[in-house]
Amino acid sequence: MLSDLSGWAIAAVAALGVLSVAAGVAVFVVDSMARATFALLASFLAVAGILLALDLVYLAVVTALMMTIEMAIMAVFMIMFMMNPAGLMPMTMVHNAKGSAVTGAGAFVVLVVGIWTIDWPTRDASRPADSTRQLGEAIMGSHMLVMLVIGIGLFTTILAGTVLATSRGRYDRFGADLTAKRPDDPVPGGLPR
Amino acid sequence: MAGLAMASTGPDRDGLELDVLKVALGPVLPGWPTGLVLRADLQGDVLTSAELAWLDADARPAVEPDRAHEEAALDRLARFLDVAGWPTAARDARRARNGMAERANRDEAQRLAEAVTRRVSRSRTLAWTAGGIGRRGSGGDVLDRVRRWCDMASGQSVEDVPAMSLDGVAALVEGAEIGSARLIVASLDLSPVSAVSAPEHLHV
Amino acid sequence: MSEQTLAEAWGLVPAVLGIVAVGLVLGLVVAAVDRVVVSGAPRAAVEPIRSSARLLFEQRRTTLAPDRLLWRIGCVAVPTLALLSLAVVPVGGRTLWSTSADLVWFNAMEALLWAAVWLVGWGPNAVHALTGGYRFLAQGLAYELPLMFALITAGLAAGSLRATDIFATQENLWFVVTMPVAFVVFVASAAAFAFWGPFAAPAGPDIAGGVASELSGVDRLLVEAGRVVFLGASAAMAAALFLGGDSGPWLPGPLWHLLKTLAVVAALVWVGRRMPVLRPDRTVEVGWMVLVPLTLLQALVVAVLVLNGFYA
Repeated sequence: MLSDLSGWAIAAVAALGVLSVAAGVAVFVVDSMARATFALLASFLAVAGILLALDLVYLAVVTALMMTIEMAIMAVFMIMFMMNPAGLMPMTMVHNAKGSAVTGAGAFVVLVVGIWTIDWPTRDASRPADSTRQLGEAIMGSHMLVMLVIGIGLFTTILAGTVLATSRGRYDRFGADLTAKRPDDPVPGGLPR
Repeated sequence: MAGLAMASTGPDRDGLELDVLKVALGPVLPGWPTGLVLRADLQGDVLTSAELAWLDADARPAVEPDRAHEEAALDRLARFLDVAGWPTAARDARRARNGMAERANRDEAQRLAEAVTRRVSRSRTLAWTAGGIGRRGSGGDVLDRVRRWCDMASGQSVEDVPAMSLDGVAALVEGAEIGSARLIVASLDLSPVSAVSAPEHLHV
Repeated sequence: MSEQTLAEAWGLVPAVLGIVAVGLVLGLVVAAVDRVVVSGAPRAAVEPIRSSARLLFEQRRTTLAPDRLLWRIGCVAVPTLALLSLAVVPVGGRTLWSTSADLVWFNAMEALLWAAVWLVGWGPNAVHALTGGYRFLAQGLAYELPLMFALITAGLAAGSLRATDIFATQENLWFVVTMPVAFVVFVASAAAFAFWGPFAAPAGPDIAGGVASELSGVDRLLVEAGRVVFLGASAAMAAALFLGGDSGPWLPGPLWHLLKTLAVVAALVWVGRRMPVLRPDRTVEVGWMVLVPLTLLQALVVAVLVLNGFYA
């Protein structure tokens, strides 16, 4: 597979791979939540760069798009959940160091053993002219069920997180018997309701 | 990296535990009366336990420079529009005020004043964005007060409203978002003369 | 229309320099039109150039214990992302580089802009700047999906995510005719992402300039330039996606595209400056509750038209 790629692409993949691992390590080294968040984003952007070097433009751009949005939402949730999102107070980014080191090493071993021992299928067809179209056909065809389940799962998680973060439910907003016409909110929204 | 100690956390309006930051807004902020300081705890962008005070309340002249009714109202209106982020309307209000102060082209200035106040008081977007905040009893909300400035500026007679004490203002901005609090204070007619002037005390 | 990209036609370096120049000129035009409308005096059009020169030589001031690294990254990223989003906007019928996912690229640059603007707000360790940064996050969250759906609607009708393909599909019928909602939402969301005009709450005067409150010197120049370049790029993209790009009688194509871009800029500034800054408490709910369903409905209408062979 590597033989399809130019020397430049291989060099880019290698350099970005190192960068992504380095940025991943930085997540646990820096001492503020904001820096950790953006180190993680840098790591994901390096992965997007690798996909771009492999000529998978759609996957690359979508990775950059989704991961950036994810980090931004994480910043919002950071405020909602953490008592102290460590403004510019130094704060350690490592908790339960021993347990997580064991889990991390275990996952690394499993993945490496898997990568080197699995009999990966060889590609029989030639490279598609348009990888975006091929991806779209796969997602909207044979893999649609998986994508839908994952999508709904993620959405449910976001909703659940928000519900857990707020202490006000619909009974607080619409009254004990839910009959109030307008919700009783500290700040009204922009719609007349 | 240098660390700055944050104050401890406290329960906020929305039932979250958030950091409490002590802030002081003023004494010189665009659109606010000079010398007014609002000290409050900021949680996220929500102000709590607000206190207002005048700086150097004793050193001020007791009487404001005498100005025509309309000019003062246009000035207030322009300053509110600055805070509300409506630069074109604020510009027109200032132009009208300057025209009235010059007294050469009073008719033209009067027409400009009527045009801008009509535009502001009839603006649906301003009503949508600033409506409903800073409501106090019968005194109406920010929007009502702005429309009162508009009526005054265009030469109509308006009923007098009692001046508000700084404690009353503090109660208004309690639990307001920082931007709303700025709008609320900018919509009020506050001056060291009309308010109960309390000497600035030291915060420890 | 040729399938060549600008980089292939002119060589990489001249093409990149050309796009940067186009971006800066577009940004200057947006800033000049905005100044003229706000101040009401035509001679204010030179004000952006004058203040840029002043900011270039102004000494930076700093704040107590800033996060300097992240602050600088944010300031540099804002104009960079604005110029990168211009890479897939057709200039003279060609884009700087062309992929099968141009529209998603444009969208990804906007998403990265969130991160960059939040950093600009976070960096100085100051109340007003951070408040502005979080306002921008909320605004970005609410206006990202409508913008995404508006972009995809144009791609849906053309059957391609490539900007030049969408350009070419509109020779007979401008997309704005069948997707007016997508057009309006696209332009409004562009203003929201450049936090300009009625969507300027992240840099609002009620929080002393918000994300921009602690910026000075070159930093301020970079962020302000990024905002106007992004607005200019979005106007050019709106003209390309919805207003038929370079189709028009008599005049050469690129001139038509330029004229349409300028028309979008003028309309945006004229409408945008007629109203006050809208408070995010209000606009965010509209984004989620009105614009998301509306743009989905628009996409549905276009999808039905596509199935009926309307755009073929």
